[in-house]
Amino acid sequence: MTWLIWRQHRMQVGVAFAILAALSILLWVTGLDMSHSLRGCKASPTCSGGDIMNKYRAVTTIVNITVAVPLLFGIFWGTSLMAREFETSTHVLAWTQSISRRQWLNRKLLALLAATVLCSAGLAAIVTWWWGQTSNSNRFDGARFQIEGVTPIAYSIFAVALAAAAGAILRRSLATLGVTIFGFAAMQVLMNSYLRSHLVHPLTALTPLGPDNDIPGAWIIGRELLINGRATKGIVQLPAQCAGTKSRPDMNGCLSESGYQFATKYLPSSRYWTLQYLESGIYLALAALLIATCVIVVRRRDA
Amino acid sequence: MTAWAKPAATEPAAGNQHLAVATSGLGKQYTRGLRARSKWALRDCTLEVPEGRICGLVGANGAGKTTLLRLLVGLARPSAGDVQVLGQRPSDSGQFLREVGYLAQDIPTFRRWSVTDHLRMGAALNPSWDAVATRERIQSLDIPLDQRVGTLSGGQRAQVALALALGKRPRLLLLDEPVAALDPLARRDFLSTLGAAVAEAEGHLTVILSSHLVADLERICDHLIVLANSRTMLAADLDDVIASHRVLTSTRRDVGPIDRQHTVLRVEQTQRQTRMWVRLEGPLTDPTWDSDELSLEEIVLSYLEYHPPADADRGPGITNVAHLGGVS
Repeated sequence: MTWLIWRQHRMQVGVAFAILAALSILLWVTGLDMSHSLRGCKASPTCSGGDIMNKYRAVTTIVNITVAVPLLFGIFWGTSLMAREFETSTHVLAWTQSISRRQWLNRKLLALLAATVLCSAGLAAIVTWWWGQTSNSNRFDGARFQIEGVTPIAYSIFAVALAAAAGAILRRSLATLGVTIFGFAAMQVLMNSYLRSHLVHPLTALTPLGPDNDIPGAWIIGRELLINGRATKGIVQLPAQCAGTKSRPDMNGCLSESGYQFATKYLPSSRYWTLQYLESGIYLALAALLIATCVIVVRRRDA
Repeated sequence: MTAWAKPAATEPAAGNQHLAVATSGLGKQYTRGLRARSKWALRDCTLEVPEGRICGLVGANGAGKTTLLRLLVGLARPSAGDVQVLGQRPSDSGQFLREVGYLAQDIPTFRRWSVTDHLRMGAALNPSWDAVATRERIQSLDIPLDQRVGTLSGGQRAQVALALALGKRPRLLLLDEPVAALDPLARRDFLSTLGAAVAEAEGHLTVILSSHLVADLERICDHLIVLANSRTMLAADLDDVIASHRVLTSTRRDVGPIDRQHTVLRVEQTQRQTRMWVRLEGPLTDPTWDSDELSLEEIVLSYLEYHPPADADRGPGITNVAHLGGVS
């Protein structure tokens, strides 16, 4: 059975690990180079870290694009796991050798999920390390939260499980592909735009207007304008005494003196891993449901 | 037995022999779509195939041949009735599967794999794999071992699939229209490979082979199953089938007396003549009928066109043709 799985999937797995190796070398080299430059930059008063990062814009783009990698696992590995077998009737060939359908299914799922974990964990590790060299970007920012830590591993397992379940039910590659892409994207959008901010109870801090309101390393979930400690509603009138201020810092200073401030809802950087594990847990639970569906469908349904 | 199926004159041929396959009231129902009415692909199938036989399975398209074979190998589960294969119920276990070889209608293979890859898969998945014999079988057919199976001819691909099914040394081999898509030469080669394998197995291999080509079946089979309208029409020893089916000819007369004793499959009445295709359920007592043998082709055809009387819906099909020693 091990031989069968290896023979069937060696190409995909080989290509994926080759790409991972190439990417690792690229990130390793640029990461070291970048960290060296940034360290040199800190010593010099005329140097700006932003200029250094501009040199690595292409690599940054490549790193951020890895946000799509979990979907690629779903498309290439997940679809070939079930849908392609059924589409080409090779499942009939496998199920009429001296091996039970149950065994065939368990080992196949186990092997491909293990490869998924291995490959995505490798990628997440090198990406996490690379971003760690930059130091001036927020770990909660944009795609970073989704390509670092353990979330990409959970996404990848979810994508493969989704494709496996869809393939077991639909039995056609193209339809499975569609469901995988749509389902994965829908789940990501739901998580990014709604779920993630509801996973953890945010803290609230009162922050002044202007550039000082940033909380270093924290994820700012939302801000509410307060006037003398009361929440504002609708259009906020500018106080008369601040009407004449010319510059933005002056305006902010005047407003702060007049009792204007922000109530900022945020997640401190210390809760980064809590959020990572919670989000991963949701994806893994969904993946477990999908795997169970796949197992039940394959075992109950006629060939 | 229902009213229309005449009782057999003697005991079934199987007797105390070991049975490779025994089904009773076997049925399979498919539901297509949510609102569509479910359809019986196979119904009330009761038959026996003794061990060591080469059994032909014939029937019109959609008669349930593929369904029956899939039920026997456990790829599908029955909706009704019981099925025993080599003394056990088909199950999802290696212990059952290693006894049964199966070749599906569309001959599934990994098209991009070489022949060697397929043989290696057979060796990896079957504990009783016969590596030497399988390799020899392929080589004797001049099939290049390192060629991709997808680029082989249809006949060669069928041979590879047959070698794969035989390589696990099954006790029962189920072949679903394996020669349907092959040219006459490839068909002959395929059947001769099959014949050789059966001869080598010395009675330890039972084969059930579905086909539309009755002439092929007549050459290699010694047992016959006829399915029509999702039911078993006939399941019997081939010699008995030939011996018990007759075409009776006479000047025009009433078919009633014959119909009461035997099973009339088809009647042709002209102004002066009556001709009927009959399965004899006992000796033919009326000597005024001209009795002629039927070819297997004609017998099969008359079953495929045969519509049993209306009350037949409830009962099993016609099975177990009697041994008829006294037919003249």
